[in-house]
Amino acid sequence: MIEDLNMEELNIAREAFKEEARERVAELESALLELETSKDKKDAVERIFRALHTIKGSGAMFGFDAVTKITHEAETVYDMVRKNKIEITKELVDITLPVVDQIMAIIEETIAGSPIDNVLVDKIVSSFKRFTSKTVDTTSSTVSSTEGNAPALETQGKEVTYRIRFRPSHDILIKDIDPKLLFEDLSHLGRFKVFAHTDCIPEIDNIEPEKCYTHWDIILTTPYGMNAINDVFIFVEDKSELKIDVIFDSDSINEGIYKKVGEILVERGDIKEEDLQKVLSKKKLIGEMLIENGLVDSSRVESALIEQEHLKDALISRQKMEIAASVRVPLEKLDRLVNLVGEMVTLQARLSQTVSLRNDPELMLISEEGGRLTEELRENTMNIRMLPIRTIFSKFRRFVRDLSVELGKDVSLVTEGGETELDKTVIEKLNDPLVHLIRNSIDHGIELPDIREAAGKSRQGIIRLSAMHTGPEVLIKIEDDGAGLDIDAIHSKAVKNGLISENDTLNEKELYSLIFMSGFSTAMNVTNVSGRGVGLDVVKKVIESLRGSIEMDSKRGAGTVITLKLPLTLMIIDGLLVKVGEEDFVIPLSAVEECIELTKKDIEKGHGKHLVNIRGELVPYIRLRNEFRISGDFPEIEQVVISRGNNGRVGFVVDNVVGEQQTVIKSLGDFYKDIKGISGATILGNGKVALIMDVNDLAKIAEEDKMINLNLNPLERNKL
Amino acid sequence: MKFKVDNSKERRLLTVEGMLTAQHAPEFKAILIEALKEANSIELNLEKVTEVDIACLQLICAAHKTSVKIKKSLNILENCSDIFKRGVKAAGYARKRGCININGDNKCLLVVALSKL
Repeated sequence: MIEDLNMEELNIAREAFKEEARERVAELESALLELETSKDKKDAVERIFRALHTIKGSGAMFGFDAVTKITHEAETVYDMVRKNKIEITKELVDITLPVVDQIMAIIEETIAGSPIDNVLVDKIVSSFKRFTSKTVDTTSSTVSSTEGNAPALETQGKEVTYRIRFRPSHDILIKDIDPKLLFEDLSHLGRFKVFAHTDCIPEIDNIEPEKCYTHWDIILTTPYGMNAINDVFIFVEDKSELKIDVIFDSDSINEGIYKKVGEILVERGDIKEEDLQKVLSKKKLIGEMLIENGLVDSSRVESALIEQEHLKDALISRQKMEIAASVRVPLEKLDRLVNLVGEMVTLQARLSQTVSLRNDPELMLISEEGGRLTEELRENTMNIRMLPIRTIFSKFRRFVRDLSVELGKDVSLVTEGGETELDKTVIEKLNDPLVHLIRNSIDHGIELPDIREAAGKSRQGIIRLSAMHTGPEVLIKIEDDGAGLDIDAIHSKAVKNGLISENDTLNEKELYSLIFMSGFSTAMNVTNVSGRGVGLDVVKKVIESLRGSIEMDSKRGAGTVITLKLPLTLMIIDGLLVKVGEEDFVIPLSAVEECIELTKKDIEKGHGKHLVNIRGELVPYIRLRNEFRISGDFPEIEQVVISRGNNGRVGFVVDNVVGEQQTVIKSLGDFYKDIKGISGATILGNGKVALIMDVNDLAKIAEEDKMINLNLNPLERNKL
Repeated sequence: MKFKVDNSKERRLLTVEGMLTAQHAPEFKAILIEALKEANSIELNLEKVTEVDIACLQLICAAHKTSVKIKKSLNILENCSDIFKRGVKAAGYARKRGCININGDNKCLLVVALSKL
């Protein structure tokens, strides 16, 4: 196959393989780790075998010879495990786990054109060969059939379309074989469609849930031969009915493809296309006639239609000489698209506003339709950037395993909500903070097995990593069932480091927040794992740079929960557009709690302090007019936007509140990147620039400048 | 997997959360049988299904066949999870028309549920 590609095409194909391999390798790693913990090893071994098999096949296709060599040898070993010819041992898992990293490294090196470390490849191959040679006497036939150079999946140099009729035995589900996985393997061979026949499924009273009543028709167009297809069914073919027929051969592309009389007459100009369609619409389709006559049931007709459609696609594909199931687009292009869509959203908001003032029903209808389409376009565009969080979750299983072994602890990682989707950029930046947090949980949280046992806990500690959507945000939780935080130790350390004074009385939440300050660590011994006091402050900074927040909760002896709250995307936010003089500002809507009026009387009540009384609660406020040095008179009645920051409620005084606004965040560029209180800017529908406020930063600056006091004592509160 | 049943004589809402897979199939079957016996209209809420396999797809199909035969209504709410939809498609259960031999009106439970697939 690679010989048919030019260099550019080969690079694109190899990049695509890299992405696929990454997923397979993650699956391989996850199954290997499951081998150690799961009681039912059969399923894990099957998954390992399949992952190796797929990587080998695709690797061979794109010329990754070293990858093929390694996976071939590993596959042979795991094939023998499947067949109970060798036992799964810790040694085998320990040899296979590093291969996971090496496969990806070799793929990267091959793509970069760097030389491959053949000595290492041979070493890995030999380590696997040791396992196969141990059983050579009893398994000579198996070994000899797979010895020698790794067989690559050989193409036939042409595409052939097959019809595969697969009727598995009734007990396939009992044997824990999921036919969906077989179809997934087939999909790697080429373009395919699958249709399940459900006519044999009995009614609910008579069905036996563990039996398989379904049989399938699969249409597959592939450059690989019949052997590759048979290979997919190798584990189930004994007890299944499997019929594979060639139904279309790209060499004989014109055979059987003929024009119908109507098409020729239209082409000759003897009849019009519309007239032909009119006549044809009155005619019943052959499938409908056959069903009406009771000659065939509808599911068989639908299966045949799928085959017909697939063949049509094969023809079109052949004519276009390209197969494009997906398109890889550089991220910059995607960002540009998101920016444009964002500007369109802003423009649409302005249009809707103008139209509502005109009171023209026709124009209103068009504007509403435009609004609907823009919203749909925005959602679809944003979805393109979304990735499931499991892409990083799966990495941590290995990390937890290795680290707990290193520290002599027994820790199991449980993940939940891996399908939760987040913006690609957020996911990429989330890796390091999660590594820090999990590392801390294992090092400081989870106790040694003996200590756990003495405390009446199970010897194995559990770290639960979960993700879930809550409105426009994603919550990621890292929970451990370890020792929990030692409040007294935190207090002492904070006093020792001069972060607080001995007499300061802080509540639990305030004490926990000290942990995220630079240089704070309660670990008695500095290890190479954690305890150097760097990490958690960095974690906080990264999370805040993602417009997120971090919270900690803990119970002594029971464990700790760290919650990260993150926005779904960094590109577009819902904002509240406000005005001060002629200047526009956007406050992230997620931070806004309410808006209230501020009269001169309210200001006088504050006795010179920037405080406003909201239903009995005193809330400090910041005048954006002063903060941004905007000249001009302020109106008789101003507006205060009340926001919830990291340190409590704070208000921002503005001239007026314009309304909600979909806001596309634009960077201020390197020159202005360090300006405090501003997280970016956006372009409004009228072309003006509005600054996007960072409410936490602004509150902090105001507090430092003694403009406000976020920690009012009761005495001060009573003054008003 | 968690099942939640909202009862009324006329309409019964079965909410399934988590894995709709072989290990839970006997329980799922029992719930479907009971619902078909007691209510005239049954709705399946599969919004929070995190996995689906052939065993449970067969049960849904079987329940639908029974419902048509006893002239009761069984529907899947359109909010079913993407994982469920993808599972149906991967298993080859996605289709454009139903099994006419049984219901005559050319409708299939999965046709309706997966209209947005």
